[in-house]
Amino acid sequence: MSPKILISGFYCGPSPSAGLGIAKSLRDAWPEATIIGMDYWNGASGLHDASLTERLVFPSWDLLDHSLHAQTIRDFSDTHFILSALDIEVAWLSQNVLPNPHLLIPTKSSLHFAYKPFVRIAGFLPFKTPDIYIENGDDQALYDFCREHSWRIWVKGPYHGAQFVSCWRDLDNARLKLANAGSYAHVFYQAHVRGLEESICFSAIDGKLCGAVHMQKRVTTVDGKTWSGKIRPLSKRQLDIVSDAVLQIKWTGGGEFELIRDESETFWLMEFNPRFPAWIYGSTIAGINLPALLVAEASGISMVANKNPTTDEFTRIVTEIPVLSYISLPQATQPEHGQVTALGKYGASFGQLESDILESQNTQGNTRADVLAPAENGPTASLEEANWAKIATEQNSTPVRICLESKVASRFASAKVINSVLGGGCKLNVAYSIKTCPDKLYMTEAFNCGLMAEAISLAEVEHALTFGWERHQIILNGPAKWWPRTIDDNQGLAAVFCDSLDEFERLIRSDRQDKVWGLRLKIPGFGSRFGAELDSYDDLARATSLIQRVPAGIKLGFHVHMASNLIGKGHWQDAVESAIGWATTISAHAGRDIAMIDFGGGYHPRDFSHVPWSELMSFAKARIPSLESVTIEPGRALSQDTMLMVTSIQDIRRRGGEVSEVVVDTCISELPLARVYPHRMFVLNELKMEVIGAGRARILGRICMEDDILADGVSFPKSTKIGDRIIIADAGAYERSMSYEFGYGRVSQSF
Amino acid sequence: MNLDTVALVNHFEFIGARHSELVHHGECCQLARRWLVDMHRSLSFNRSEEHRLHAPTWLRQRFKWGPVQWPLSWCETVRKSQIDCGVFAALSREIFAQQGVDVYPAQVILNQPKTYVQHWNLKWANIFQTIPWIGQEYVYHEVCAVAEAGDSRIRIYDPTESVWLDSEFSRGINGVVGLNVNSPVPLNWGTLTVGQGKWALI
Repeated sequence: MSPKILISGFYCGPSPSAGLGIAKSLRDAWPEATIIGMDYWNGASGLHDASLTERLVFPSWDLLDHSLHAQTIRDFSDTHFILSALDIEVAWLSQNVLPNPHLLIPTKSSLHFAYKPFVRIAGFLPFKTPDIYIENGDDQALYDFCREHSWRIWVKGPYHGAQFVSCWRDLDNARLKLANAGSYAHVFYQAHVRGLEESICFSAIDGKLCGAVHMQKRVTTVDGKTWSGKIRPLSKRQLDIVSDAVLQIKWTGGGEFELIRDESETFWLMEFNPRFPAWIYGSTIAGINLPALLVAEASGISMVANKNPTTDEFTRIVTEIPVLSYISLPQATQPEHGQVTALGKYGASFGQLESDILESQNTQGNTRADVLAPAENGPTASLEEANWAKIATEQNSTPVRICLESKVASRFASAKVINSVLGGGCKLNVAYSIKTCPDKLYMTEAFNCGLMAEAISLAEVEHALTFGWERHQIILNGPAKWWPRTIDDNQGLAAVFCDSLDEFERLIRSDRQDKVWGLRLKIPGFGSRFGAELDSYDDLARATSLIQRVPAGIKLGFHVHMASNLIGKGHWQDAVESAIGWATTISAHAGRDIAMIDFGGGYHPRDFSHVPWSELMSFAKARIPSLESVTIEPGRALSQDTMLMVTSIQDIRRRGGEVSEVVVDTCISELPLARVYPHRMFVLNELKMEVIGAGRARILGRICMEDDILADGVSFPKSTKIGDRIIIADAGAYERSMSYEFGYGRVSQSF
Repeated sequence: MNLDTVALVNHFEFIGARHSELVHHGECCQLARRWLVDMHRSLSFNRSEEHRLHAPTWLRQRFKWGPVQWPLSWCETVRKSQIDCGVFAALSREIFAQQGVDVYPAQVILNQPKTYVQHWNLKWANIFQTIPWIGQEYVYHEVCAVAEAGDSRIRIYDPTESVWLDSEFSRGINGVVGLNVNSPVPLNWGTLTVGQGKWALI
C-alpha cells in the first residue's frame, strides 16, 4: 500500500522551494505512491520532474479565488496528505483549512512560535538569538541600535527579503524597498552574527518528533542559499532538546532551525522555517528521509524502500530536463526599459497574500499585535521638543536655522565636566573641533569652558586665535593642514598630527617647533582614506625610523579618528584599542616615549557622555606608561542637536487622499546631510505639533535638482496644508558648517 | 585506513620531519612579529563580536599559497606575497599565542588526487630539485592545533585554507588521513588521541 500526497512549491530557481526535494524523498520511500505536485506558476520547473505522478498549476495568488482554493485543498485532504513548501502558504493554510490528520502543516497556534521577528521557539532551545529592533517609526532609537551593533545590520521582511546594510543611507533605501513590497510596519532589523551556517531540520506530528538531522552548509550561492552540505544525525542530547521543543509547541509537519555557529562554537538561532528546507533531499540521500518518516507516521504505511546511504554529503547540479507539453513554459515577458533580460513573475504575486496574512495575524490578536503596537502609536514629541513649536511660529520668514542657545550651553557644560576626567594617571583633554561649527557662540563657549581647539587648516588656527586661544592650546590635524599658509607658519602649537608618512618626513625636515608631533594612524580594515598606512611591514618600519628622527625637544603623539557615529561603538573601540597597539609597537621600536594619544571626534550626541573615558585611558596608560594625556575632539556631539531648521510647506501632492509629497522652502544645500543620518522632524498645524513618523510620503527640497529629497518614507497628517511649518531638528554641526547658498540668485565668490 | 594506505603514509618522507619554523634575526624580526599581531588586532574586530577566539582569516587574503625558499626569517616573510603552508602555520601560531590559548604546531597528511599532485610537482620544481612534501596520492601539510588554556580538546586550524578542520573529514580531496601534534601532553581531536609528536593515522 502506498500513500497519496499533494505537495506545493516547485520553484527550482536560485532560491528554490522544497517541493521537489519532498517529492523525490517520498518517491524513494514509496515507488508506487501517488504524488501530485502543485504550484502557482507554470515556470516552476520542478513540476516537470519525473518523480511526480500528476501536476496541478493554479493561477498566481493575486488572481486566485481563495475560498475555492481552500475548498480544493480540503477536498484533496480527504484522500491525500498535504505538504506545503511555501512559508506564506503554510500560514494561509493554517488560517483557512481546519486541521485534520492529512494536513501535515503546523496549526495556527504552533506557528505562533515561528513568526519573525521574535522567534518564540528560542525559549525552548539552547541557542542564542541575535538582537532585534522592530520598525516603529522612531528613527533615533533605530539609529542607536545600529551604532550599538557597529553598523552590521540586516534589514528583513516578515517572510521574504533580507539585506545587509552598513550605513543609514543604505538602511533607509533597503527598508523603503521592503516597504514597497509589503508592509512597512513589519520590517525589522537584526544584528549580524559572523559564522558558519548550519541547520537542524525535523519532522513531527502533533508534537511527536519523527526524525531530525543536522546540516552544515559547505557551498552556498551568492545569496547564501545551500548548494552543498554535510548531513549528520543528531546526538542523543540534541535529539532530546529538539524533541522537547517540538513537543512544547505541538508541531506538525517539517521545520528547520537556521543556525549560525560562531568562531567560539556558540550557536545562534537566526530563523525558524515552518516547512522542510529546499535541501531536504540531501538528508534523504544521507539516509534520513524526514518527509517519508512524517508521512509514514501520519499514514501508518511503512516505507517500501529505504536506500542505504552511500554518503553523508550532498550537492546540487544544474542540468536540463524535458518540459511536459501539457504544462509548457510561460511566455517570456517583454523587458521594461532598462531591464537586461525578461524576468519571470514568480514571487511577485505573494505581496497581497503576505499583507493579508499579516493583517489577519494582527486582527486576531496573534503574535505580532503586541510587538507592533509602537508602530501604530508612533513616537511622540518630548517636552523639550514641544517647546520648539513656539520658536518655529515666531519666525517671520523661512527657511531659517535656529540656534538653541540653552542646549549649546548644556552641551559644552558636559564637555567641561569630561575635560577634567583623570584615568590611569593621565589627563583627558577635550579639544573643540572647529570645523563642525565655527560660529562665534560655539567658539566662545568652547574657549570659556577651557577646551582646547582642534583645527584642520591654518585658517582655522587663525580663527581660533581670534577667540583667545593661544597656539599651545591648538591641535592641528587634517590632510591639507598647512593651507592657506606654509608649513613654517603658526609654530608652537599643542600638537601637529600628520596624515601620511611623507608629510611627517616634511615636518621633520622643517624648522617648526611645536609641543607634540605625531602621526594619524590608518587602522587596517577600517576603510578610511586618512592616516599613515600600516598594512605593510615596510610602512611600519618607515614609520618607526621617522619617529626616531623627531627632535628630542618635541614630544611624541599618535592620533586615531574613526567617527563612532558612522562605524558604531564596538568598531570605534576596536579602532582605538588597535591604534594603541600600533602606537606601542612603533614607540617601542623607535625607542621614543609616547606622551599623547588623540582619539579624534565623530561621537553622536547621545553616545558622548556614555563613552567609558576613564576605562579607555586606563587601558591606554597600562600599555603606554609614558602617556601624559589623552585628547578627544568632539564637535558633532556638542553642536549637532543644538540647531533647528524651520521650513514652510510650498506645495502638497496627494494620491488617494493621502499626502504623498511635500515640497518645502529649504533644500539639500542648507541640509547637506539630510539623508546621511536621521533627523527628528515635526509638522506644525494650527499650533499643534506632530511628529513626522514613518510612512510612504517624501519631503522634497525647493531646488531643481533630482537629488534634493530631504526625506523618503515619512507620513503627514491629512490636514497638512501649504504654509504649515516643518521643524527639522539635529540641523547643527556639519549641517550648518557644510551648508552653502543655492537658489538665492547670487554666488559666494565672483570672478 | 587500509594497510596499503598505512604503508604509504609511513613511507612518506615528511613523517619524520619537524614542523617549519621561521628564523628570528633580531630587532627587524621582532618588528615583523609585532606587525603581524597588530594587523590581527586591527582585522579581528574583537569588540564588535562576542567570539573569544579569532582565527587569522586575513592571512589567506594577504598571502597567496605557493613555494618559498627556506630558511626564511620573520622579516623576509612579512614582505612576501606568496608563502607555503609551513609559513602560514608559523604566522598563525604567533597570532593564536597572543590570544591566551594553547597553540601547538601540527602536521597532517592529506588525501590528494594525482591530478593535483602533478601540478604541485611542476609548480614547486621551478624552485626545488626534490619535493619531499608531495607523495603519489597524499601530501604533507602544516596546520595549527588550538585549545583553550589547559584543555585537552583541540581544534585544528588550517590557515592556508582558512578553515577549522572537521575531525570526521578523512575522505576525499583534502581529507585528513594522518595527524601529528607537537605538544608535551596527549590531546584529543574529536575521538582521536594525538600529541607528544606521535603520528596518529585516521
